[in-house]
Amino acid sequence: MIQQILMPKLGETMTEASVEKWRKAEGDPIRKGDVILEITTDKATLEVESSIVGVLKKILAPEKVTLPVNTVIALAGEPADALPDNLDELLAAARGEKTAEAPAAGPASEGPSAAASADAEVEAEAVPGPAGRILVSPRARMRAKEARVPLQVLRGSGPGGRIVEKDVSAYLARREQVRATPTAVELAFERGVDLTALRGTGPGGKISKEDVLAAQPAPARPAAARERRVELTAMRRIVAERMAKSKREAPHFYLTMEVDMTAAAALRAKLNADLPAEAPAKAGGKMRVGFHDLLIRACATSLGENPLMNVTWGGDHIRVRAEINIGLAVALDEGLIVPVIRNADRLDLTATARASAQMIEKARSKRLLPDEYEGGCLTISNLGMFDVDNFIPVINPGESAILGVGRIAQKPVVIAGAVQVRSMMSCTLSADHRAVDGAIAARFLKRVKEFLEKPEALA
Amino acid sequence: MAEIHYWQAVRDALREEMIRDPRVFILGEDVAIYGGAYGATRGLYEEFGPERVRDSAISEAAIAGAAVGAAMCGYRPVAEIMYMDFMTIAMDQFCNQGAKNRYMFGGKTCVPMVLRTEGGAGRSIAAQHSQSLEAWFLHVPGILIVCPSTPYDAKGLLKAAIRSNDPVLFIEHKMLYGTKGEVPEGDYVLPLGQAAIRREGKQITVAAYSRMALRCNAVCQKLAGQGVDAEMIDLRCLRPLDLRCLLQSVRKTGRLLLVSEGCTDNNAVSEIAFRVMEHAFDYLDAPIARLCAANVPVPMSPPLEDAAIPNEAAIEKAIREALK
Repeated sequence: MIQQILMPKLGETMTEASVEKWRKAEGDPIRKGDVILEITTDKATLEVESSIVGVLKKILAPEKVTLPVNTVIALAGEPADALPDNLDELLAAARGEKTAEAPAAGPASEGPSAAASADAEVEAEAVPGPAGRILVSPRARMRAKEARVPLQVLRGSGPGGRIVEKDVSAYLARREQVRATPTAVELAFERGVDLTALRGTGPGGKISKEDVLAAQPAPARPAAARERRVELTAMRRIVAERMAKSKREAPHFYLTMEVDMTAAAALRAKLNADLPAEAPAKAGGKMRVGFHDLLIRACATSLGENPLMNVTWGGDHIRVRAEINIGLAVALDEGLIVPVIRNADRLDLTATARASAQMIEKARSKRLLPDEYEGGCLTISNLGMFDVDNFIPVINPGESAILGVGRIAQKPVVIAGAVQVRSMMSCTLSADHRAVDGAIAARFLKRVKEFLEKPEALA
Repeated sequence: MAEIHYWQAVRDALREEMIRDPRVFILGEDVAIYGGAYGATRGLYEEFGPERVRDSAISEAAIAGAAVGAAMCGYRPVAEIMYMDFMTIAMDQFCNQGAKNRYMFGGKTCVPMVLRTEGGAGRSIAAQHSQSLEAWFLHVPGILIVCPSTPYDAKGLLKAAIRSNDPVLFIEHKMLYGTKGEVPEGDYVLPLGQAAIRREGKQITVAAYSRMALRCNAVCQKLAGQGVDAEMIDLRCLRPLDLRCLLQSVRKTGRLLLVSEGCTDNNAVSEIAFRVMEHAFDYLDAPIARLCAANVPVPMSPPLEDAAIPNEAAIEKAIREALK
């Protein structure tokens, strides 16, 4: 019997996903638990296992097309099973095409088929070439080869940065000014060396074989950078939607505070003293403690004391959360994601370090499961490693606040009438004024500061 | 040298060949008493009489079929199909019989016929009277295809077509009958398959045929004053194609723009582009470019018809684009 394989719904907020890669081909036998495909949601790439025994009969959904959850993406069954009659309809749905609406009564609704204009051909421009390839016209390639000019030294002036004949001519005009032995020219061609960039050590400044051998090959210049259109990844789209929604709907207010991190830095150094610089993320093993781990602990402990900060705006109500879940913003090439450290108030510093390391690793390899990035109430975003002193972050919708953390720098500070050098850190809390008022947020932030300045309680 | 009209050049070629060879005769719709829809047989009925200038029934199948049969029986018929669009009705006789008989009879017969017709847009006479269908016939081996753009070429090439032992599709252009050009008096024959270089240039080769050759030439001449040094080739014949001339030019310029009045998809120039790519790939400095008519049935509305067919502004733009 033919069975449908659906685009799975893996989390409460998951509404769509795309097939990243089919790991089984049509006709492959499948057993329960076999990974049939990988899907990409707005947050992660996940493997989908089979709950069916049989043969993968027909793949319906192409890769990289975003589809609603529960779309039929493939059919499985016994080898002898016939494919269903509505295959075309399923295929259209799985390609993300809207099924045609039922025509209104009467022949007038049929309309012309417009064969001439309804060209479904792929735009040639949309087919990408391999990255890093030097674009060169056949003519320029031939002339360069004849004149022993390595393509790497040429800069293309044609469309898309293509090297055309006149680029070769221009280079040759410059190379004629350079004196080089025939062997040097040939060697430069073979090794991709730009003769015009060399200084000859031979008689009269002539470039010799040795000069070429000592030179570095010119790096291949891919086509010159041009303005281009980059299609949104699912993650980029979600980030854009959520950030715009946050700024549109949540009235942000901002509190900035300086924290003396001298004691926290000392504690961290002590805890990490016995651990190698790159401690592997071993289950049960000790992890190096990062400043973000201290921040998570400080925020979780302060949230425990300030439950009115641990809230979510619900439109007509405020939800006071029972769990203390802290998000940690992780930057990725295509956007950012916020994995959540659950029940962070119940973890000691070692456990926090282990949990955060695991979550960061999962986020970077895009293996986060939906419940690992949902349910936070406060996010920590740290740009200190980029030497940012202070910044104002945008609240992650669904949460009531976000703490933007800058770098730790040595600064002169007046303590008891005397100037001392201390390790200072500036941070800014953005809070949603619909759910939280200034005094509550200030109390919360003040406790965070106190915990960080006397961090023994956090360990 | 006297300047005469394109239609006169066609008529003169017919007349001279009829005088030269008694086997040559004309048949078609309204070719005799009326003198042809575009006047290309004017006066011939009066001169040669009803045996050699025959008005046919309104049946393209009969015209083409009779011409094939007469040619195989030793005559050299010149049949006229009033509009190229009507070739559909003559297809079996021309393509399945005329084009193939020499081969299917092992060379024991030949089909020395000319099918004169005219194509192209420009008169706002809509989609069934404005087509340029030469690409269809290029897909049938055995047919030679001639597309003259000037009175001089029309006369010299029609004479060559009549003297050829293979079936020739001789495609005139409805907008060219009224154009004038220098034509020497008396007998001259232009070989089939020889392109004409209308302008020599170094930066780009622009190749076209029929009316588009005139438009391209005008644009190339104009651009010469603006620092664009284009070489313009009038192909004149699509089969045999003067590939040698094209390749020599492309090897020199490195760039090629092909222009045709037929619609873009599967245009005759697509095949030409392919052949140039096969033989001159290493000499190309840019992708071969083409400018053809829009992929639509030719519109009747004059502005839309103009928009659908390459005009001089479009040709200039295409040349500049291909030079980037």
